[in-house]
Amino acid sequence: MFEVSHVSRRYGRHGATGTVLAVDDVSLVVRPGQRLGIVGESGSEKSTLIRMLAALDQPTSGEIRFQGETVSGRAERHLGGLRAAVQLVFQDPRSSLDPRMRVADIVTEPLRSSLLRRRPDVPRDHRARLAEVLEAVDLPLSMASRYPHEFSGGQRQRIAIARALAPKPQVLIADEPVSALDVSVRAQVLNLLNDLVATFGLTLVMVSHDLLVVRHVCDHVVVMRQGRIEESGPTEQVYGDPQAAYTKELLAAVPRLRF
Amino acid sequence: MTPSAEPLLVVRDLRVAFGRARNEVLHGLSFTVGARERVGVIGESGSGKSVTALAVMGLLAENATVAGSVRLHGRELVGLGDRELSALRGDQLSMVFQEPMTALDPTMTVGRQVAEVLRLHQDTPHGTARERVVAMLGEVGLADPERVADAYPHALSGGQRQRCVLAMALINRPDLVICDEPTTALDVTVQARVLRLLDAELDAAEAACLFISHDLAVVSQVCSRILVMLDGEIVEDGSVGDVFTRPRHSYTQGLVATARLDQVPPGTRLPTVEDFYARDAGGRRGAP
Amino acid sequence: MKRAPLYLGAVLVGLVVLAALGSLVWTPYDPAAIVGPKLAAPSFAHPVGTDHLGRDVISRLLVGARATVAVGVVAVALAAGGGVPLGLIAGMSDGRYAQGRRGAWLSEALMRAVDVLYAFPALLLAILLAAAVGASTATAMVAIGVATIPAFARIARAATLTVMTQDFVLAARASGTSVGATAVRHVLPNIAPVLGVQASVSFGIAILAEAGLSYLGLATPPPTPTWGRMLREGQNVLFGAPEQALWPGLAIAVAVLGLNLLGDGLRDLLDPRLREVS
Repeated sequence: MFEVSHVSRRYGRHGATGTVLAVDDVSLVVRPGQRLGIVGESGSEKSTLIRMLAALDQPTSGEIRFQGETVSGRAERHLGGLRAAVQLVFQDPRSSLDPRMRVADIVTEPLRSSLLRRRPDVPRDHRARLAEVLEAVDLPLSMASRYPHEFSGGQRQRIAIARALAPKPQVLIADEPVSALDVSVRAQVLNLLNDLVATFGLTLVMVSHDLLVVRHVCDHVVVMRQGRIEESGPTEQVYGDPQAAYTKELLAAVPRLRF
Repeated sequence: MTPSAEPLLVVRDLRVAFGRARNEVLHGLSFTVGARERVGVIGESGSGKSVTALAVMGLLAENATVAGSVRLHGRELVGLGDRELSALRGDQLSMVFQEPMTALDPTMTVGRQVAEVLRLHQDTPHGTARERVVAMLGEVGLADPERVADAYPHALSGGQRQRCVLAMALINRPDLVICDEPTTALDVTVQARVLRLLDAELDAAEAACLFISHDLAVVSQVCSRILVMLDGEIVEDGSVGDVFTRPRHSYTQGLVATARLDQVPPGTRLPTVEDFYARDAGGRRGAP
Repeated sequence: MKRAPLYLGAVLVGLVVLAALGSLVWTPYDPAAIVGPKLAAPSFAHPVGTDHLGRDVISRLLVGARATVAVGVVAVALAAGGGVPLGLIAGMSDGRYAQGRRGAWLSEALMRAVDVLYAFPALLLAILLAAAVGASTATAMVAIGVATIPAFARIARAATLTVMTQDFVLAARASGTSVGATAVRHVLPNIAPVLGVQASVSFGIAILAEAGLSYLGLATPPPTPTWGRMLREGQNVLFGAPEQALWPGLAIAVAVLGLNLLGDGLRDLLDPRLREVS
């Protein structure tokens, strides 16, 4: 699916002093059907990395290929294929939905955008698709005429997931999808994500700082620290037999129920 | 330890309402915290756990009406004037907040802020304040405490700032420290260190602690007893071991089940709170 | 009761607009005609008295409302029409949304251009225009409008930057929504409340500016009455007949107050978050 080759992202003007190297020479591969977790703490720049995967940001060096085609450095109008196939779910359910739009319009926005509208792989019947995705996330269709502020955090996150599913994507990129939610609601959303990924055969890339969540959902994991990859591999292997010192430190720091 | 007539903190039938409409958010809470005891308060947002902490500290907004009793060392706090409460705060009773950036004044150096707390409550002859501030900053694990004392909050990392906040809360060796989600905003490795620090400092200060969090695992690192709050009421009160292994209320059962991610095989369905405890719009029901 | 400011504002502004529109159809007397003794006290024939030339004050007030409303509306429309697009484009060229695309220079360029404009107060522009083509209502409108563009541009840019930090803008881009569509469908509706308040504030300022300009003779020329010039004329007889200045002054105050109340009230009204949950 994705091939990331020696990608770096530098902030600041070319050659000027005071530039910041955020992502540093990262290479990884995401295979179809894989569930990849990206873990790291603040400063690991994991969110920057996935934004580059979704072509919302451009690497300053290196290359990103999606399904064999280069997507880094390309103009917006050539990214239709990527945009239709790769969708995002953001961390904060309060800011990821436009407070002035109704849920129906929010969820069908990907279907109405100029870039995706005329593509053959994108559903044409917006109303039908709206009903389908709302049902998939277990929200009644009657809610579609309401505004985001009328919903709880967990429900808003489900709306965001419905929006991501609308154009029938192949890849779902989730940036800390449950971190901003109450503990009692997290399990619901995680179960939902698991189900959807299985039902629709999606490839999942999930960013989280919570190692237990990643262990539960992902079959492969990448550990990032300060813009670099410290370790990567199948989840069971990395968690069971960590090689890098940082990975061991991370795993040891996870608070466990003590009694 | 000499037994006292009554526990350090006794809260009886505490009710808090806001606004003219008197929307009650706490419906008659009753609990105690003994000397040197560490009690955790677990609940989701809206359960009223932060309101409880603020009520004990006397820090609620102007439009709050407080009824009931909060006694510290046998002395009634509800209804006390601000001057008397201020004398207690920082001295016998202190609080650690979630967001260290907003708990620290960005225009003052850290050293000055810690010194302010010290001078407010203790006699500090000229020149000794700085010594004690630096000593305290060192005690909370800050490397190069002299430099940190002269630094402004924005120059420090999140973990460092939270240690400074801890220093401020502990420098007068209070009897009760209230922590409101003190590590929620921190990275997990930093959190582990700050929790260990808190554990050690509470021991050194011989202080009791009321630890508020949404995270069961975090609470269990520091506390020996747990209160579970739901919609402004305490639904469970017991030792950490009892609450985790033999929870009585169905909501607690749900919380414990959903928190034990390590017990569930990866990829399978996670237990949700709803599996144990379902609530409808009006009232509450037990198991679905 | 929470809506009281909104209703009061609406009423006050409504009165002024009604006066302006009504005066097109009917006034008690011809505002330019001398119809009574000079500086007559209020009476049944002339409810607010007459001015220093014997003209009916009420009629002059009503007609004066026209200039006030007209200048306010056109000036604000000009300012918004020029300032909002500038601020919006500047805001969208900057920051996280634009990352990976060149564009921060555009934001800088636009705002510097706006700064240049800021250096020209309405008064200066009005004088220049009056010198060039002679003072008139139109020159006042243009002068005030152009001088208010920077206020709208800055507010629009600041509000746009705030909106751009929200994830839903990024989500729109990930959905393939074009920059233009994002600006129209996402940014504009979200900055509208702030702009609305700015509009009502600017309206009030425009009215005051018009009064000042016409006081100085740089706006509508006589004999068409304007509140500003009536103030001026009232100033001349301030010791003998203070009420001559009182009435136009009061009219200006009512208009400005009404607009401020209306602006605040509308902003609250239009926020879907404050609407009752259906």
